Amino acid sequence: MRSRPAAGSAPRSANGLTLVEVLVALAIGSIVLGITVSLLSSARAATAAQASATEPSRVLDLAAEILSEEVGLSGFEPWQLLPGPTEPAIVVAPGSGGQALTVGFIDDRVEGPALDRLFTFEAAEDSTGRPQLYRRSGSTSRQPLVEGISHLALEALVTGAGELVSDPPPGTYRGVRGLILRLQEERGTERLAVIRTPAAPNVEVR
Amino acid sequence: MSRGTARGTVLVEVLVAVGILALVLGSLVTLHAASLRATRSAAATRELAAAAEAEATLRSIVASPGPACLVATRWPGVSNCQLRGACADDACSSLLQEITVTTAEGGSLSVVAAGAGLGAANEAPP
Repeated sequence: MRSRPAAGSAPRSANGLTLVEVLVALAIGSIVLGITVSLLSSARAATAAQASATEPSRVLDLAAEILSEEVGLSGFEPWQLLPGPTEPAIVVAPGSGGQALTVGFIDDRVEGPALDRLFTFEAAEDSTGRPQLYRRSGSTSRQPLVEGISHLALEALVTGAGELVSDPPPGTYRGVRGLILRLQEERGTERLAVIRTPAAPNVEVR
Repeated sequence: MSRGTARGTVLVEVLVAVGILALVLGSLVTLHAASLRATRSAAATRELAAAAEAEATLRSIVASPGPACLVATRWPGVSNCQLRGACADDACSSLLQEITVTTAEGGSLSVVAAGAGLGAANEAPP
């Protein structure tokens, strides 16, 4: 005579998981989850550190590129028929964040008649106290170009005779072939920008 | 299949799953580390390129640039700068100069630019 299985003694497959199995699974899941979270947080921290390390270079590269393009046009005039840019084509004067560069050239890059440009570049703080590289055109309000630039100064210039003059003293330099500008990012990283001035403008340092 | 075999299979499956998870996590960590290294390397290369380009630009407008680099070593990532002059043709009608900038870690980058020669050394660096 076959007896019926007692209640609770059914095969394991019918009973599901035991408490020990569930606990072990939970423990393994917790460990895997903990490892994943710690890896993700360390990866995020490393990415943030990397971005923080490369950000100054990116900001300085952008500022150097913009200044190279605009300052490199100083003294440029496309046709001799035009009266030419304001003389001297570059004026370097003390500014809020180092020195301010005022650059004049005839701009024929835009559609329509050529324009007599007079831009002033300087590093200054915005209304929130954050340093910016600004460009001001004549009497119009200043236009922010690059955020994070705290200092702009003329480091050296190459005179018309090809002589390299470091920290040029006040005076007028004729037929300047190029400028070296020193840029500083708000975290202290510095960068030099070597700018060729093909129009050989006259430069006044005040 | 006996109960022992069934339990053994379950254990192997768990171990395989844990092993696969470990492999996936390890791969993620390795990939991320490689990505960070590549980013650093790219940033260093960009520094070298900017320094070499600035040096070439400056040497092309200074009348007597001399045998020493003028600005390249002022870049934060650049530890050394070397110059080498060469003739562009047999008649040496035009001169070239090779500018090699090096990082402290040993990475280097060279650019070749038109130059006025390296013989005269009567200019002081800025």
